[in-house]
Amino acid sequence: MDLEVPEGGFLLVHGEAGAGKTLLMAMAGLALRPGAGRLQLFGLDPWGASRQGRARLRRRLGLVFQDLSLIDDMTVAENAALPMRIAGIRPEVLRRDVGELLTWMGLAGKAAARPGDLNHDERQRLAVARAVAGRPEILLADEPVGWMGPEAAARVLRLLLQLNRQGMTLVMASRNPDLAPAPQKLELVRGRPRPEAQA
Amino acid sequence: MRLRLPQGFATVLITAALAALAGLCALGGATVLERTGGWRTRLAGEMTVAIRPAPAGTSDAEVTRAAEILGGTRGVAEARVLDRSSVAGLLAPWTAGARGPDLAVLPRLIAVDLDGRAPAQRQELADALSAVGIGAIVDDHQGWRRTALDLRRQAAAPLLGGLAACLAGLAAAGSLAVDREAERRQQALRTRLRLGESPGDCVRSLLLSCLPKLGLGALAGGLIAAALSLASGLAVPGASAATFAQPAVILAAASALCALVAGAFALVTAHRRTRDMEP
Repeated sequence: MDLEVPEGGFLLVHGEAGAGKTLLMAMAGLALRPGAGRLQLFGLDPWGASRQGRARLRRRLGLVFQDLSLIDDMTVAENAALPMRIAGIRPEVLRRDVGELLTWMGLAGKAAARPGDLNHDERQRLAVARAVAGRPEILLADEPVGWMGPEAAARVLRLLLQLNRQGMTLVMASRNPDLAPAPQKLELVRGRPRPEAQA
Repeated sequence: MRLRLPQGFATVLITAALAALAGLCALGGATVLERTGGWRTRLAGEMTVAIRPAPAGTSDAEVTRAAEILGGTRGVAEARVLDRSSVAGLLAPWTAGARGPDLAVLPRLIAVDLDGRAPAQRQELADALSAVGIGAIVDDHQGWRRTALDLRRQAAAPLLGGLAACLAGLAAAGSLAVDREAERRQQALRTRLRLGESPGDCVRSLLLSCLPKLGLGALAGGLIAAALSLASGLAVPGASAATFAQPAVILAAASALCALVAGAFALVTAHRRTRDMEP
């Protein structure tokens, strides 16, 4: 597979379960090291960089994990604020931005709750809130609205597309090929792009 | 009702127990080294001269003369004749407590204090006495000094071994505390690393939750050891506040060493665990 997403671009990766979408997202999100081939982020080789350098690159990414990976012993607000805290953003800015974000996501009333107290829809909205909180340059979202109701899903997608229009590179993975009007689409079949898989 | 102990209580408890044992071992080791060192120094600065008993008995005049000769020998600070009852007391373990007429058959002893700057040799004292025709056996306390040295080795080795074992235990406690903490917070730490937290911050966050417990344990252990040694020390007649100054310094140093060892191994483990959790 040879794939390049331009800066500010929007790529939708779709395919059936087990097609390799999550694996591709994990490699792009620096959660997995590719066994072969070459991966570049922002024109840099992340696996050739130091651990500190890789951490700096990760801070420029926003991630929505398929398993959500929320931290259970933190509140909703603390979870959402985590990327900003890691980036060293001032507490007053952080509080204001997280408050606005949680309001947009319909989670303002649950700021002090724990992720365990939320239903799956709310947990997924929190995962998206956390991914966009640090104003990432690239957002990698694996099934970002899979568990949400239609209204919440539309609202979240609107936010992601708006961020993309503002210059954020967006890579989404979903089983639904019509999830969003992406200018660049990639269908995976058993780990390969569709034309190659057909060949 | 189920008793729920505060989190990390086991770490504090184990560290305190090991630090207390380490402190007592260090204190015991230092005491043995100091005492036996003192004995050896004192024994090396003295000699004992036994005047060979004459067939007709040894007269007091002859013993006094021998003491005068020894006192005038170069390298001798003082020579004192021990009276018969002192000799009987010294030799009591070997004479089954000889009393009355039996004392007459005991050898007459002269205690010789050597000049610390240029002490006389054993042979010089023997030569000085034989030159005037006094038969004597000069004991330079080599046997006692060897015994003190043996005692030093026999007593200090297990105590220092115990100290080393406690330090090894503390290293394991530091390592295990971080291991458990990393295990407990594995999901959170993995997520933070995936979100771009630097490995150094991750190590710091692990240490921040473990080091206070290890430090508290080491401090508590030092205090327990101090309380135990104070309780046993107060039972010794003549003990005063000044008597406890040196043990207090040793216990403080031992506690600091315990905290340092546990902390160092906690740091190494935190680095290893963070590296393992990094994607």
